[in-house]
Amino acid sequence: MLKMLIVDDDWLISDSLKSLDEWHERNIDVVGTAENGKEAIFWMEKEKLDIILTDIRMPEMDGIELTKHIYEKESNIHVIIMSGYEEFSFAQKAMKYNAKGYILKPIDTDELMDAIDRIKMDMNPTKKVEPEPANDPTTYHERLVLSAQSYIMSNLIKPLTLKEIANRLHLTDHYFGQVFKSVTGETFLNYLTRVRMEKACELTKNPTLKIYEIGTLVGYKDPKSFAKTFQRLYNMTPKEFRKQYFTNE
Amino acid sequence: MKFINSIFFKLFMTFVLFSFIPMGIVGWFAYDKYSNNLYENLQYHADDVLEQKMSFLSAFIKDLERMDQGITQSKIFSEFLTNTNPIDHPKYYIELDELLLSIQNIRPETEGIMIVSNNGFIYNYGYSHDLHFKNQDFKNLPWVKEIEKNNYVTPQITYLHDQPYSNVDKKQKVYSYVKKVWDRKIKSYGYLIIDFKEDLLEAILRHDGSTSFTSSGTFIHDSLGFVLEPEINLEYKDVAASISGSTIKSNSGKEFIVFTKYFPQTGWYVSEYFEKNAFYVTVNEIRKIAIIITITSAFICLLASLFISHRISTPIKNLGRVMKKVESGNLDERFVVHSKDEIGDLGKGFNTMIGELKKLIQAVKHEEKLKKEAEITALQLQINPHFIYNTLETINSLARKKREPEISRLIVLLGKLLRSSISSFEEKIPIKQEINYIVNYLEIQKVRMREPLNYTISIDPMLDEYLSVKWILQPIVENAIIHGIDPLKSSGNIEIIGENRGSIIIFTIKDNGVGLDSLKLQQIRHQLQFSSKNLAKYKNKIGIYNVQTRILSHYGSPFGITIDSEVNLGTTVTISIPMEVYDAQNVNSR
Repeated sequence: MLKMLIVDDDWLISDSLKSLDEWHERNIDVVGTAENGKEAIFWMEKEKLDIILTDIRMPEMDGIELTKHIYEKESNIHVIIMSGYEEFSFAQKAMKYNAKGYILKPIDTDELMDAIDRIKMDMNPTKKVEPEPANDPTTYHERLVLSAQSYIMSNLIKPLTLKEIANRLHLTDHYFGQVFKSVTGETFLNYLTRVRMEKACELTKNPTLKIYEIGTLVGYKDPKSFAKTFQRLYNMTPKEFRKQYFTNE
Repeated sequence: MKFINSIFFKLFMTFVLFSFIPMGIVGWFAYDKYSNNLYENLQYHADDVLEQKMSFLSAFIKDLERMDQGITQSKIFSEFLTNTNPIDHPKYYIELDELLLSIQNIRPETEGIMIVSNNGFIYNYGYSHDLHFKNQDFKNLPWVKEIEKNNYVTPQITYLHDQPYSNVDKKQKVYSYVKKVWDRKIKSYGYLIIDFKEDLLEAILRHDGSTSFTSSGTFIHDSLGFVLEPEINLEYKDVAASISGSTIKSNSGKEFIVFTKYFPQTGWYVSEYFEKNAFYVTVNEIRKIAIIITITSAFICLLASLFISHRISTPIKNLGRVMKKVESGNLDERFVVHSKDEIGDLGKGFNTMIGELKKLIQAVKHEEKLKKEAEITALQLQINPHFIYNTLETINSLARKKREPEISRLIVLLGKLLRSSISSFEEKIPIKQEINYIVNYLEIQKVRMREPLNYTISIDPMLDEYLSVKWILQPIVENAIIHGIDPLKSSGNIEIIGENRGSIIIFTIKDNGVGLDSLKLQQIRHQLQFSSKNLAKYKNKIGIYNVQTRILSHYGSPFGITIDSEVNLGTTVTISIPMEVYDAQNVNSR
């Protein structure tokens, strides 16, 4: 089984690609989808990936940066780039960072599979020598949670709900809530609030941001509610937190 | 432009030179010739006059000599000279009176005759003698002394002197014929003096009617001074220094031409003078006329040359002006042609040239405009395609989700078709690319068609990298499908063959469609040959005529489309283009 991650800021594209039957035929396990390079790196930390199929134009971290990161840090992962852009400079960079394919949108499935097959052919000799590790690091449930966490990570600014994420994962909200609790040991809402506040703490260290701006960035439209939640968790207001941080410095 | 460099000035100078110089030369020659002629005539005339006057003078002198001889050869005269007795004197006096009465009839105009004898007796005739004037007084007279000096040259004529020996009018000026005379035995001598008045000489020499010249006259001079004073105020020394025919200036400032002849009997110089101005009146008139004619004709020439050079130079100047305007960009300017000469031709040629130039510029402008429009279209397509591709990919994603591989395939084909049609802005592409395009197109058509569509493409692989004007196959294939296979309502076949024959690449597109009847075929062939450009341009026909136009404009006339068809059997279209190798420089420059 080869593990593959699909990275595209358009969820419909990555999700529809994930649902292709051809993966199963080729013994490829699509572990999840990511919206940008950062999320892809988050996934790489959690999972041992073999193939990443990535778009180029994405927020936060684009496909070229991701390919470069992989080329420098995780050279055993194979990258296939898919793009609407035919520009020579992109193709050239992709080549430079050792991308294994450059598929133009709209994606011709045959072409994509040809690229996958080429990668498999490249890998096969080494794979055969090294037997596949018996313990699969992630279960199906764990993978669902990872997908959720990955999505939450890049969408903190939005007013996320359990239902929304469950829909994305094609699950009912109730079932997803249970799966999340059983895997992480905390409720989805707790997790979401904690992640939001951790992000807020981090942002507070940036003195150019105003407190209400930080609130907005982590998904709180009302600054009062943001301050209240923050105080409940850390026993101090974001302002006090910032002050303390800078006096300690 | 400097005036001196203008055509007008050059023409003008030419005319002036060609009119002034001959006129001047002719005028001057005529004047010179005429005045010389006139002078010669005058010389002849003066000679005649002088000759005539000399003969008059000579006749007069001869008369005097006859008188002299009549007296001196008489016996009584000889006795008078030899007589020494005063008592006898009156006797001779009376006798001499008788003689001289007849003698003087020879020249009655003479004033008087006087005989002075050596023995102290004086006889006179014609005037009363002053008895106080003695023989001795006579000897003291200056002109007598003069004669005494030239003893041998007798007779002589004295200069003008008064008559101190006369009783009546001592102041009367007279000339005297003086001769020293001897008696028959040559014992005693005396002087014979015949006096005549100035009037007489003048009457002989200056009688009117002998000359047609008004301001002319006669005078006489000898080695001592004037004998007969000129009526004009001439200096003796000027006259003495001059030669015959020369010009002498009078004291009053007038110029005279003086002709002179020597009169040997008396040692006189007889001169005839003519006032130069009066003589030259006609010459001057002729000169005046010559000058007037020269100036008038020169003036006429001037006007004519002004007119002609103006006529010639004005259209040239106008043409120059029009050219300046055209130079500054006004191509609507035209040279108005009036004349039928070379300048008219030049103007017509110029107008035609400007017309052509304007057409050319318009054509270039039009082309630029079309190019710009094409570029704008291309730009619009370049701005949009990512959205288009992303949208296509979204549809593709939906198709994938719904498990609709046909839709997905069609979208992918459409995407590829779109990509190839807008990816390149070059007018020429490698044949490989052209084939990819036609394959995509046919694949889409295959899905689209109700009845099955089959196609075969066999292109010699060695042609892949050769260049072709782009998208020449697709319109032909489209025609084959729409006009040939669609009406067939059954399965269609399209065969595309690409091969090279010598240095020509031939594409053949065969279909098994309904074909064309011979009338329609003729019409299409005719239009392909003669009017494909207009059809492509104005009727918006982007099919076969557009392809034909593009091939012709890129490669020229031996290349292009031929078409063959038979009803119910199908149509075959053949496209021929030259083998053209990919050349980076060439492609970039287009």
